[in-house]
Amino acid sequence: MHEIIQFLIQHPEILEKLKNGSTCLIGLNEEEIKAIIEVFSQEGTVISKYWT
Amino acid sequence: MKEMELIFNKMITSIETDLSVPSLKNMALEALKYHQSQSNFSFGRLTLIHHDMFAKRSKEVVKAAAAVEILVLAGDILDDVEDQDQPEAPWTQTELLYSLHLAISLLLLGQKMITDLKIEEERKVKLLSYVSSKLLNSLSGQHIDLTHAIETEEDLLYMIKRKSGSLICLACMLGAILADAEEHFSIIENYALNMGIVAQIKNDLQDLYDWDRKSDIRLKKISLPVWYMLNDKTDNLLKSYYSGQLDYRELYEKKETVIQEVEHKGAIHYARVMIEIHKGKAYQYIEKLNVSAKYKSLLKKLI
Repeated sequence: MHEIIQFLIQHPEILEKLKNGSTCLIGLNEEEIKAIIEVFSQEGTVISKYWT
Repeated sequence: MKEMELIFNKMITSIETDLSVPSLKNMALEALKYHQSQSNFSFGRLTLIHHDMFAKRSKEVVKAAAAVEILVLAGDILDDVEDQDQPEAPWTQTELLYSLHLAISLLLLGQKMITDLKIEEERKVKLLSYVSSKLLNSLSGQHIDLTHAIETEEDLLYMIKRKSGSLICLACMLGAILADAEEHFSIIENYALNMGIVAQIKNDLQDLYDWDRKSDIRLKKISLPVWYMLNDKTDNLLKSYYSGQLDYRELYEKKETVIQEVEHKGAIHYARVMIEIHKGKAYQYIEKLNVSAKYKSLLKKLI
């Protein structure tokens, strides 16, 4: 997974193609692709509130 | 009475009843008060939820939830002593041997609280066996973390599952075992492990920005975002520090640049993607539970 994230950081234009389905990332399942699109489409950090 | 108050009161009663030496009792009560100020007793509340999903509330389950929180407090003290962080906690402001003694006492107290539950012997044996096994798993995960014995992403996730997932499994399963919900055990363990992964990565992300209170970077701990940086193809400051080319003082002076590198090279994205993946897995298992939509929704909100 880390290699795919590195690749997407270097090639952000791929993300748009991923979103509209005109390209795919080999070796990733649907949930993993969904997670990538979700994270790269949002900004901000995660704050843990429950697990204190 | 609110659930937190119920759990807190049972914890106080057990400390006052079973820790007879006044100075040890006072240390434990002081530690408990600090724990209460920093925590919402999330582990103990998980025990209650996992009982109430399947059976009617009993006094014994509140005692079990208090035992879980005592065990979690013992683990927190051990973690902080080993990691040398949380400078404001009472157990880091006393001598090391007292903190260690307190942690061991609480570890045994938590197990005694389970032994003292008024339930069938067979179920009690099952509970104690489960608790010992999950505590050992958590300690082995902490050992891997301390010894930096992590090379691959699989090693890292294995360590997180053991260290963090085991404690969440313990909290959930104690409630479920008390409620005799055997047909759900496998599903609960699966989502609890994923909840543990999500919680640990969230903590790792927070700690990445908090070098003064947390010692992860100083002690060269390999958290998920750090592991990403160490495996990045390009040079970066964290790589230089972990390989010994920079000392901690030099790295600390460049903290802002380190954070920029972490953000720009994708370590935060990576950690957040891993959170989303494991959150999704946990949701899938929660959906398989044969409980009301209210409980499914409550469990999802906790992740």
